[in-house]
Amino acid sequence: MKGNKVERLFLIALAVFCAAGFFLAGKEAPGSASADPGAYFWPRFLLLLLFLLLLINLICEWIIYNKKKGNVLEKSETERLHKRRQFVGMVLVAWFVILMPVTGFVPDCMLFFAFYGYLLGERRILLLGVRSLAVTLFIYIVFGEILGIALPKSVGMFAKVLGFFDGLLSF
Amino acid sequence: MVTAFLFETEFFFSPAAFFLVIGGTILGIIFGAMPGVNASMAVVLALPLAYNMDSTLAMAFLSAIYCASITGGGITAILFRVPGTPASAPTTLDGYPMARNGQAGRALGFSLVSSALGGIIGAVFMAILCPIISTVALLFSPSEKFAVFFLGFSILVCLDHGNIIKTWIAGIAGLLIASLGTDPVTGNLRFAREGLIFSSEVEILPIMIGLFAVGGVLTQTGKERKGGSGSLPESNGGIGNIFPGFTELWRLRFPMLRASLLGVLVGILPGAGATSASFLSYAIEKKVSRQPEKLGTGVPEGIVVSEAANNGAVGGSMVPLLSLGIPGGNAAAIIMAFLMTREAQVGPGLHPEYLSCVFFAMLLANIVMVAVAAGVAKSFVRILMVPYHIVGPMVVIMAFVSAYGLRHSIRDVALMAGAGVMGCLMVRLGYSLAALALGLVLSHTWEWNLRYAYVLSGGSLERIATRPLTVLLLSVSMLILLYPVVKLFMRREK
Repeated sequence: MKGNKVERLFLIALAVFCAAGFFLAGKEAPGSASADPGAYFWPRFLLLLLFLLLLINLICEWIIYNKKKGNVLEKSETERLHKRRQFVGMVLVAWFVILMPVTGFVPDCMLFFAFYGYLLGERRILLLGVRSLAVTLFIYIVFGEILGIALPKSVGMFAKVLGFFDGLLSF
Repeated sequence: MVTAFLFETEFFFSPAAFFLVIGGTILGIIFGAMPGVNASMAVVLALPLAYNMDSTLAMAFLSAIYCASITGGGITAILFRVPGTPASAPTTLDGYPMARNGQAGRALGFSLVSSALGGIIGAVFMAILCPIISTVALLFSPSEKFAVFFLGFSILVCLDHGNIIKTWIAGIAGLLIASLGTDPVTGNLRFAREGLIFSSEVEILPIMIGLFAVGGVLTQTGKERKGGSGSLPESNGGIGNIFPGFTELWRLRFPMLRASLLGVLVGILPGAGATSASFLSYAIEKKVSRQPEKLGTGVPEGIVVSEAANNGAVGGSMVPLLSLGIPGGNAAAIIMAFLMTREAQVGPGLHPEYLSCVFFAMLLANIVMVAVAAGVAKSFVRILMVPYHIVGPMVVIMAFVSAYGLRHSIRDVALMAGAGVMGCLMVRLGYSLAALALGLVLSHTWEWNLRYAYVLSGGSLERIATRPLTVLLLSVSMLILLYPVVKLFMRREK
């Protein structure tokens, strides 16, 4: 079974969150004057149901884990490598989003494309750079200019440095 | 209904609609052929193009992409043994051996014709069933509508091949996430805190984009890459003459019809989708065929039953969406989320022009894609040669554009990214994305119907529980939910 320990910890944290949410919603819920059960009825019902399901799942996982004790296969080196690569991918996606309001679309997109391409195995750096520029410009022109979807512009010093890009591309 | 169709016939032969559907078909075939890009991703990637369109045109465009992406997957399955979409995986079993035997053209021809037939039958059934189901559903009271949604959910849970409890957890999580923000009955904010990500309505579409596009790329990042390596995979050489003769097609009429109808029926079931339809159809063909030992060696039957079923399922998955507001598959769920951003009344009250547009788009797309795919089949080798280290990041960037283009909000993009990470982790840990997506799109309507039923009954659950149709639907749902548990016990006893 994949990711046992991490999954169990996450499920416990989620169950605690559900319990806390259930009581918090109960405190916030105003009294209902009419027959309507109120705005917090549905979320509280779902939180309770989710809490119960998480408990059942944890118990089932614990039973299965105890049965399999001693028979758990060690992860292979390849599996570990793939998991690490996936984790780095998640970090890159988060970084792409966090940087976007600061650097604007063009530089952030180029950097993301280059780094993610490197992560997926492309080692020819020059080609990676050229492709990242080409793809970024293609997407910017098609979506930003032709289709008119306003993409985030650069701010601060990035706006000064890259302002000429916007001037070049706006036709 | 006839009047609506006549109206839409005139509308649909306008040049804009015509070219949009053809454009959508071409794009759909290209997306579908790319390994690592499935039908849901194809629809997500097309969203930014649809934002500035009229709602009906956008629906037609997205439906054309959905249809064509399923077909595109079959082309690379035949030529290179690499299914472009999971729904075309059974096509490789007979399609690739046929191509290796120098019959690539014939194999492609069978694939395209059976896809077109399955798609057209799916569209026709959709056009016939939707008005009937909508008319009946309009007579439903809120408690019956609540029970129908519960039934749809139960079917999805039952059909999921994984852990039932995990599927329920995913579904409930989807319902919960969508319940953040605005109360659908009073319009008040709940759980709102200044500066928090859910200080206003939680948009579902960015979450769907994240789950299926970004989540898909992250999942692929953690896998061994097959296909799209930049070098030409094993292939048969020439394609030659594409279209099989009429006599050959006539001989396969029963398998094609059977597979198309099965595809429609499976597609109607929430969570089943084109992939289940094609595998099930192939399995049934093995049972009913007079020469089952030949399946898997390179016979046309294996191709036609898979492709007819997966395309039939496209029309089938739109039936519950357009008539009840319950999406029949992941791509249908994304289309539903898109419709919700246009504030269309999804469900039995959906304006008939949407059904008409989707019907004509599917008809036109299924006819056009035979010609388009036949024309570009020889250049598909170039599409397959695009390495994943280009496709993957491009998909993420276009997903960003899709999410940002909705409301020009970085908050939506952050939701999308978070949903992508969550989707990847869910797949890794065995939780169902389909259940989460269904929960996301159904939550508001489900809650609204439950509370309205409660109000109408004067606050008495007893009065709701004595409505015969509600009791029947809920009982059927409970039986469906109990079925996997019973099956498990029976297996243990053996």
